Amino acid sequence: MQQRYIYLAYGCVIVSHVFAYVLGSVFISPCRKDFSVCNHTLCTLLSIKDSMQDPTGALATWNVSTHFCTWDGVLCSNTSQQQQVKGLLLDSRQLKGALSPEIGNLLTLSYLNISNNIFHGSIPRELGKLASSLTHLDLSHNAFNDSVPASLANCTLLTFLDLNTNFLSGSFPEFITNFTQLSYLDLSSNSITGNTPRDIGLLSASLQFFQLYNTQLTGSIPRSLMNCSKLVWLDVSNSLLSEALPSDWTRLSSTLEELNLDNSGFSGNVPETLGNCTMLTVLHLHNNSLTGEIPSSLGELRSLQDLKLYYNHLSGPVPSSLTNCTHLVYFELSGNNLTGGIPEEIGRLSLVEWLTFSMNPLLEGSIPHSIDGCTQLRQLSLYQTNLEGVLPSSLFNLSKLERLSLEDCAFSGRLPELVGNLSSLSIKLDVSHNNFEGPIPAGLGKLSNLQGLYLQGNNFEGHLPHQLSELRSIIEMDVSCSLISGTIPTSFSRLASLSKLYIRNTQIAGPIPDIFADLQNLQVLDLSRNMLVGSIPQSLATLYNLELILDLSSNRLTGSIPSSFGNMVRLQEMHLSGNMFTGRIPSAFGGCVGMQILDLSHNRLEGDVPDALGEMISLEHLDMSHNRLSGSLPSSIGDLPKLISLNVSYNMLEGVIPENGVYRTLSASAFVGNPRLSMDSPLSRSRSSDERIHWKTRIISVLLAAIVTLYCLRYYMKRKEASALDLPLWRRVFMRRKKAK
Amino acid sequence: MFFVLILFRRTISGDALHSLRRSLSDPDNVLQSWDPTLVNPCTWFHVTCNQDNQVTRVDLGNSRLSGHLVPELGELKQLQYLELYKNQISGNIPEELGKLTNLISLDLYSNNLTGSIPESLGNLKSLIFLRLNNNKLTGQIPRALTNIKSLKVMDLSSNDFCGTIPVSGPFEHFPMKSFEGNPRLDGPELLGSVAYDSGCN
Repeated sequence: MQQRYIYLAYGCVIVSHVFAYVLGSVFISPCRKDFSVCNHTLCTLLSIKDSMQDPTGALATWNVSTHFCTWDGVLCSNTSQQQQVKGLLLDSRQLKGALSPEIGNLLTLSYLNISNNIFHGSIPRELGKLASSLTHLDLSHNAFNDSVPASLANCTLLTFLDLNTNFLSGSFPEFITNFTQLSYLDLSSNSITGNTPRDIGLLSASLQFFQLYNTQLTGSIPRSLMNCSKLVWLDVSNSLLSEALPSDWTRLSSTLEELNLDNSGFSGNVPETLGNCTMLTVLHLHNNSLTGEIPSSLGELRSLQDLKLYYNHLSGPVPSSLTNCTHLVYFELSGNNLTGGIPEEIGRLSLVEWLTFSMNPLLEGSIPHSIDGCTQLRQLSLYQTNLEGVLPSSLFNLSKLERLSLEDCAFSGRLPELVGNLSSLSIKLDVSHNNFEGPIPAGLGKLSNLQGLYLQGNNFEGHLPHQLSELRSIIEMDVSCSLISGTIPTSFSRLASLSKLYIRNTQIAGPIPDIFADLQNLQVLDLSRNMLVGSIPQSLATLYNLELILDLSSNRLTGSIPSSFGNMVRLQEMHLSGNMFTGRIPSAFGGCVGMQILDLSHNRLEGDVPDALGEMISLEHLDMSHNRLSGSLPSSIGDLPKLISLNVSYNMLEGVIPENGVYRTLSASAFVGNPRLSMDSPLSRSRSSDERIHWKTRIISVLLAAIVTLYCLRYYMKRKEASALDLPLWRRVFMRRKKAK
Repeated sequence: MFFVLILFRRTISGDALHSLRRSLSDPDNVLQSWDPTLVNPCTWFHVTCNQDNQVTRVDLGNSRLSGHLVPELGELKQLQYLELYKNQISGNIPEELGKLTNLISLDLYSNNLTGSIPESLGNLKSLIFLRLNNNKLTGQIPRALTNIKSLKVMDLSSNDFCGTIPVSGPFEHFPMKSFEGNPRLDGPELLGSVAYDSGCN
């Protein structure tokens, strides 16, 4: 009996110890710091937390006071009694640090998403231990480096694998082709190198999303990918992939919706079988080296919204079948060698917003009348083509058009007043370098949102309409057409946002109007090659904010150069050449420390070249030739640190050319035409090979002079003898002395 | 090499400016013309190029922009004028701006910039205009700036700089009002056998 009680007592003690141990390990002191020994879920999670930094307190709930299934971001399975961690959802929480190897101890983990944090270091190979549970792995948008661990090959149950935007290196992990349930794969924006996975076709039963953009993968698109008949989304853009595209896309025809193969080095033709992929909404083949014609089968892609084929070497016509793709929003074919014209039925594309055929130099014909069917059109780019003819009036019904680029084509006829109906034109209207004629329409003034107006290089004639001053948003305007006449409208003073104004090479006459007080944003004022008269108006003389270019060259301007120009501290270029400016060069120019080019040539300037020009520390080119400058050249100019060229030819300079700095490098042509400028300094003598010839001619001429003098002396002496001997003079001169025989 | 030329049909400068655009908030749509699909950025408004289609100026002063500057600005190797003044741009001055050895004018004044002036700005050997006034910049005025012989106009006023004001090189000529409005800035550095520099606490 006692023995039984003893056994009972021992049993109780043992049981109570075990009970206490169990209770204690769960509640009292759950984890010692030495986590490697403890493999309990709680310890594992706390260990994972411990290897991270959590600046925003996203893991504040991760402490022992509550059950881990209630912690933020922890998902437990709610079926079994014993709570198991099924998923961790910790994206976008600004977590930093390493992903602890302890993650491999969460053996029931099926879903792991730590995307968009700042995890770094390598992906722990312990993830391979989760082979029997892990189905969804998202480590995207972090800073993981090193290669994808080989142990991950064990996780063959993965359906979703996203590692994009990290710093992963190494080659493509081929073991992925064993993940026969993989539906979503994204390894984009990493430094993965080597070839694409040849056997990706093994995933044909499951693969729907395949993304490898922005990597350094080389080679071609694996042919076996064409077997993946469930593929919805394929993106291998921005890579070093090259070679021809696979030719047979038929097996992908019932599922493929988005195809991004742009910005790589693909060559060969656009596959005709792409026309079978009638679910396609996005087809991006731009910025490659594709050749051949655009297959007309693409006209079968009735769901297509985004077609970008720009910057390739495609030839042949624009298939008219493409006008069947009535859902197109982006239709971009620019930068190719396309021939023929714009399809006549282009107006069927009633949803298109961006239409670009520019930079196809052989594209010809005129803009079809149906263009106003494209009611949603926001951008129309046809520049640098051979398109021609008169603009159809229907073009001006496009009330949503924001940018119209027709420059460098062969368009002709007038620009109608109807242009004012394009009320949404905001970015630019560019018709430059065509054959437009007739007046500049006053209707342009209605375009109150227009920022850029380019009319230059046409045969527009008549006056500049004052309505142009109603362009209150205008930033850049170029009306440089050689037949334009009249004067610069004074109402241009209202163009307060004007930054660059070009009125060049026209018949415009009259004075420069005094309108610049309110044009405080002006950076470029180019009024060169006109017939402007009078002097520089006060508001221009004090336009101190002028930052870039002032060009008034080749006009008939008079008066003196205002010394207030010296306050244009940041002006980069000033061209005043080819006028009739008089007076002195202001020494105030020394204040123009930003000026790189100063051209005062071909005027009537007089007085000295100011010493202060030596303070123009940014000056690279200085031309004061063909004036009436006098005095001597200041040596300060020679020390200008950036001066490349100096021209003071054809003036009335005198004195000696300085020999410092830049002066040493200049040839004689910089100084020619200054009769009183001394070329005698040792430096002048050695200035160029002309000087050596000069030296030689001096010697020769001295010798010749000596010979001639000697013969003259003999002649004189012979003459005295000849008069004694009665021989012709010339015989005496050449007579040898035979006397002493 | 030919292969690379085809690949980079977009230009480096276009990409750099596009990075800037993505980093800025632009309520007035001043960057509307910044179309990344164009061959180069030279037709964009507020961008000026030289004859070789290299960007020489970015003019975005007074444009109600906010957001941050980007390190990619350092890729604009021919940039001469960087005008981003009078906006609400925040964050640091990227040290990559020190790579812009052709820069003549750096105008970041009247923004919300923080952090210190990167030492690398001492590499801007062509700089004439440096105006960083009216920001929240801190730290010392880098001595490296005294090596920029061309510097003519400098304004660091209304910030939170500390330490002493350099006195050598171009700093000999800057008036005191270039530095006013910095309550923690001690006076000029006292030069003698040992340069006195209280540093920043």
